Amino acid sequence: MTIRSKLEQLKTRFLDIVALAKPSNSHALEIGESTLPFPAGVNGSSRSANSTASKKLVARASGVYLPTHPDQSMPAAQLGDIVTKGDRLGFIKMGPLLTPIVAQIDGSITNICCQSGQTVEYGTVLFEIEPKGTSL
Amino acid sequence: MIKIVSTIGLSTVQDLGRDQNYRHGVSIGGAMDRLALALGNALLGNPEGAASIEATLYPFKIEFLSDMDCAVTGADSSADLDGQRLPTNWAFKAKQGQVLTLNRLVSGSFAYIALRGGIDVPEILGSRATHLRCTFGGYEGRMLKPGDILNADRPQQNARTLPEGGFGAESPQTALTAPKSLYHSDSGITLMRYLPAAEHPHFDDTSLKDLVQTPWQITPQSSRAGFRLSGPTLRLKETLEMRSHGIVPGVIQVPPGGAPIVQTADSQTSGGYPKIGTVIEPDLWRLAQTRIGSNIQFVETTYAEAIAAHREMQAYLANVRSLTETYRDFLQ
Repeated sequence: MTIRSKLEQLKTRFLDIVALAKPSNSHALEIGESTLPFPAGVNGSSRSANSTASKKLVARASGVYLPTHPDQSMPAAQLGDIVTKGDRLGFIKMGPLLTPIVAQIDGSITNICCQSGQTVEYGTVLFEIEPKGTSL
Repeated sequence: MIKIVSTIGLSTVQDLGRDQNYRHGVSIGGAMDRLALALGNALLGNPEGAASIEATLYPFKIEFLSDMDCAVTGADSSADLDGQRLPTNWAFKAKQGQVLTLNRLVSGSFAYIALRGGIDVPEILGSRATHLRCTFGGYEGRMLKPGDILNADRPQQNARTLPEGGFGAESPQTALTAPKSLYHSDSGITLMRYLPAAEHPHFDDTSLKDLVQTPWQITPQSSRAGFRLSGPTLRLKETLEMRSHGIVPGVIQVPPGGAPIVQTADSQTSGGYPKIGTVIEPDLWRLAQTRIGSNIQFVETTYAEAIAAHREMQAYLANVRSLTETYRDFLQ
């Protein structure tokens, strides 16, 4: 088997995996430290059928979205995390101020709608959270 | 009202110190990291120098005996409120019965706990700072002990309560321009700018090179009064006999042994050793937050750069204060 055909095969398998993993409305996949945009034509899996059950968590401040506190190395929350009302899921930086993004319900994170460093406004959807008790 | 639940020593009530009685031989004292103390007060809408707790040995634990707004700034002490981890430089609402624990050092050295309104202890000689050597000021002129109960002053009228979830500030380490050295780029070394002092020209050439080109280790013989450094021996070209004269925090004295001492908050008001330089005030917090055993490196600077660094620090504090007010108004 040539290297080219091997790569083609890997790419096809990768796209299959991506299609399975893709939650509704997301535009990119995070692998380790790199973020890959979903290739055109890859559709969300059956999860999208449940997306109406997800609650949107919107920004309560305007500024720069930071998933990780500047003094920390780990993000406050990641896709798939089970969260409890009151948990800090990230930060919005306004000048030198860091305001928390706080979970309003118990549930699991089904979608992170912003990229690190993106400017968000009051009302920008930051996370989608599937309320606890809703089946996937 | 708060109660000290546990402390293993060296935690005191501090503010920005007393500078009106220096001529009578009273040390300035106050917080080792004045910037961190002012930052906590800015987050809570307190006057800049409201009294706060300074902690340096961990774990340190307090219990809230009533609902209260609180801020923890300075060293990253891996703080938690009832087990919920708090980010660094964070202000939050604490409820009666909750326990705040500063667990252990992750980075830095001195952590500050500010309460909305400031800690209410008597003002002595214009300050609430604890003067340990003279046993006055702060809480009964001594270190805090388990069981001590501290009250907060009435908050200022314009000080609003905090939003749910609290909020914080970007740490000064990332928000402020860091000094740069021609001789070191190692991130593990704290760089500190200094201005040459009166006796600088009296040191020999090797010593003047060593001052800026080698790292200096902070020895365990350091305290709130001064940081003793170890490194190469600094030598004068010829013996210098001097009368005692006024010194201030930041002054780098060189005793006859040749190992420099940087004066800090509880510095004596006078001394007779030759002075090779003075660490600029806007970098003294960097020194305070460098742990014993770690290395620092001196960077010669100019008066203009020192003023610029001071202005940048003031602008950062003013920015935190004004945005804090805007943010709280917005959430009311």
